[in-house]
Amino acid sequence: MTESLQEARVAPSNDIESLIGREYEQGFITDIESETLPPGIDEGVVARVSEIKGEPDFMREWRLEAYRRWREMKAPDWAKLSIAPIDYQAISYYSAPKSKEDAPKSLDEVDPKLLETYEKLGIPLEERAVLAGVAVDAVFDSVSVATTFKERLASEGIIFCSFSEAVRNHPDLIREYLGSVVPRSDNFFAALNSAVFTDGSFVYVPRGVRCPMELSTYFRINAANTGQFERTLVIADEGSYVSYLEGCTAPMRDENQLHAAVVELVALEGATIKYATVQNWYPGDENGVGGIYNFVTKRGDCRGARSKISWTQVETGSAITWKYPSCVLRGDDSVGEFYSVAVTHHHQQADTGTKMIHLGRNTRSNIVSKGISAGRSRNAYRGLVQVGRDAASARNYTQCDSLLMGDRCAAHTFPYMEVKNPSARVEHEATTSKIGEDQLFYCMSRGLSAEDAVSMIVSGFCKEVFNELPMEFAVEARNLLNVSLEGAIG
Amino acid sequence: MPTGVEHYRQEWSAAHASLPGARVGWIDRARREALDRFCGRGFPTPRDEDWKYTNVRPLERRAFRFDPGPEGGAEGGAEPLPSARRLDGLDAAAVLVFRNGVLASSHSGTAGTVPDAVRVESLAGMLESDPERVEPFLSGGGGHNAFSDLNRAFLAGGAFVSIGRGVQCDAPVELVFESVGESDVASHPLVLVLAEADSAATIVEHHLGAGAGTKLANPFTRIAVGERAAVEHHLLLEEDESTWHTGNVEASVAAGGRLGSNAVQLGGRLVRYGIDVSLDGAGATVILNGLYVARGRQHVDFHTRVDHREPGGTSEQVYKGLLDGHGRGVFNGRVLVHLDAQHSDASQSNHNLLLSPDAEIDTKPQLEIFADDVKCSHGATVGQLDERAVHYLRSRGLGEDTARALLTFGFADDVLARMGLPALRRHVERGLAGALPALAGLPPMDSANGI
Repeated sequence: MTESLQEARVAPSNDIESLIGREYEQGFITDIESETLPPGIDEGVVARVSEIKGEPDFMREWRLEAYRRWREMKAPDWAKLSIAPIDYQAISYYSAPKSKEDAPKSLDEVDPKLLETYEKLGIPLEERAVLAGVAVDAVFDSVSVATTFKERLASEGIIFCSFSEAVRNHPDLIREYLGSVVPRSDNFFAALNSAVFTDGSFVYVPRGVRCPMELSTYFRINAANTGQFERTLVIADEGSYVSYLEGCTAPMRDENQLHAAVVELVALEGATIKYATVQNWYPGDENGVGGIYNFVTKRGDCRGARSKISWTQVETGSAITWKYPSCVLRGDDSVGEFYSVAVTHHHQQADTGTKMIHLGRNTRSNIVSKGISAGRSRNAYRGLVQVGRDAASARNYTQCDSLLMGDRCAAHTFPYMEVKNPSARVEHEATTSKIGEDQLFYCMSRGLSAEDAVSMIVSGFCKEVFNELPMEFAVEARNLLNVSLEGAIG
Repeated sequence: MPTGVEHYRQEWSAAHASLPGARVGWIDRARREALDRFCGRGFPTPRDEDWKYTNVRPLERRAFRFDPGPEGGAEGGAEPLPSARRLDGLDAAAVLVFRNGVLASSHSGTAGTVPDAVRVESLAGMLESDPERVEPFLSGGGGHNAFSDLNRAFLAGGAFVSIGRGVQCDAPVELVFESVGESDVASHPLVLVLAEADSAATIVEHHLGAGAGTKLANPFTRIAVGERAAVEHHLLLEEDESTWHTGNVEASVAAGGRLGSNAVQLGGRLVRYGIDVSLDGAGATVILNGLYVARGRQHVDFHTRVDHREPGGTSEQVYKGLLDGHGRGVFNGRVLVHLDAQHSDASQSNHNLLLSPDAEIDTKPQLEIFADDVKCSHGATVGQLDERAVHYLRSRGLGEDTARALLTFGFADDVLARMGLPALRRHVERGLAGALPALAGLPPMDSANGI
């Protein structure tokens, strides 16, 4: 509480009216020449994406098979979302910055316009990387343009590179692990991604290595009408540890942009993967026009005994979020965690949660989900805790809280619990409430402005999740939350 | 012989002209519309979210016969089921006994204590003699699922209970539905309870089955609680091992009214019980308590839905499940707080005890909230007995079996105690002890004596 109190005090005390009117700070378009495929998708386009990326035959076949399966599938409609129909033939499936051919070896070689973009976002690459000890693999549109700290990581035997590089240089690892957590036909969007994904990040941490720095990638959607289909694969070999951060911003635009990423995590025996996301894509304006459609499949496989996968997410952006980072707890004594803050405002819709699939013995999972809805938004938690027949002594605890700000927003909770083992213990708790008048009154009687008081109370509400974020992300997340909820109470 | 939807269409065509009230326009229309809905929608499949965990395919494949027969007398000469199976010491104000959905008048009757403004009678008679009285409650609605449609399509009779304005009917009204027979037989009885403003009543609905034949018991209960009225509804399901039970309860509560719904399920091959409560007036209250037990190969599915439509409503749900053998339990509790239903207070809890390695539970509490100034919570747990509690009892000198039996019993009895009808509680306690091997170690006890 003390921490957030201090923060509330140093926060600039802007008056509420101006805050309501404030627009999305990260909204701008960078004018860079892009090589873009014409809109539409068929086997030719899929093969062409593979060709542009110079992939081996097995990848092309893998994509084509995914495409064939996708064509047989229907877009899911079970989520509590209203989605305008998406014309998949109107989307361009490949767009790359021109500088791709002679990829830069260092920051000096990076297109200054790109660097400018990062400047505008307030993330000076080199400075941030050095200060925070973060290696950044920045994805701009669909191709990696800058990769840093590679040598430092290489000396430990860690592979951290763009997905395309990994396909070229480590085909064996790709062949073994790609699609092993999220199969091609897992769901509609995963199948689409498998067919046309352009790039993403690849991480391999060898046996017994503790990754010396937080790994992070900045995704950014830029060129108009280009769906972004990232593919991320993180493999933590036996006894290793890695913490991966993902943060997102996107330019302001009036057309809905489709984003369908797939993230696969594999934790072998005794390995730990922490995966944190701050998602701040363009949510549309206050009338619900524009905004990103974010349909993501994220899944971690605790394949080995005593492995651990932890998902942390702060979701403030996107017009529509459809996302369920999950853990398959296959190994005995493996652990899955999910910490989430999802904020929706104006006309945003979020349907998010997690799945914890307990298969091994003594597996444990912990879910903490905090949903905040404001304006006319809809925010749903949808989660599944499944305990298999053999998952003796499995343990789950789920806490699911919703905070409502405004009388036109909605908050929903849909937890599914399926238990087939009597020694399992599964608990779910959920509450829904609003910020109490008495809480506000108390804070304001202590000299805080209404806005600061709300900010402080919200920070407190989300504390358990922010505590799981690395320091620099926690600060960013709090700021994001404040910006997202500006004008929600006044 | 056709099965599935086609079978019911044929049955309906053959029967509908001779059903009570067939010449009354709205009754015929309501039946037709329900049949059309049912035929259009078909039987639910696990692909329907509401039926995700309950598969009724085996039921669909059977051709249950619908034969309402004439009312009156002890039909077919069948003897009533042994009175030992009935609730003991209920001191009911009135009793109606139905056999396969048809009133058995010779076993029904009223005690002298019924106030004048209380009517307890055959619904079949009402459909013929006073259809206007029941029209507002039966002409629409009922379309929650395939089975409530089926019930409405085959609406032939059941019970009509009404309590006049301001009347307090202290003694309970007992409605007994027996499913008996040696062959595939279906019954679709309907219970209509109308409690006018400021009245109070207790209704006990007891469903029990006997006989080797596979039976479909598909009752529907409609309860309308008037302003400031209070209704306690007790539903006891003791179907036999060859009965499929697919009953639904639909209730509305007007401003300041209060409904207590208590459901206990001990028997049945597959039981799907749905209750749908709409809090239609400001400050309406519903208290829902439930206990379900699945053992052997039983499948039990409890579905609840509470709609907070007006400000200041309160709903409180406590459901508990005991799963043994290869039993499978399903709980789905849904609470909706509508726009402007401010100051709603909704709580829900669902606790399940798995007693065998092959038992299974799927639970899904849901909150859907469209108003901001509300207090809503839900909790669900699945687990075993607390080992520390077992240890504590053992340290007090109880044997392992006794300690476990006592804790298991306590787990269930906790919700029975909330139901507030001693006769029902005693009956269910005895039923539980006989049904679950886990309770074999239970010392002899009597809850009336303070356990």
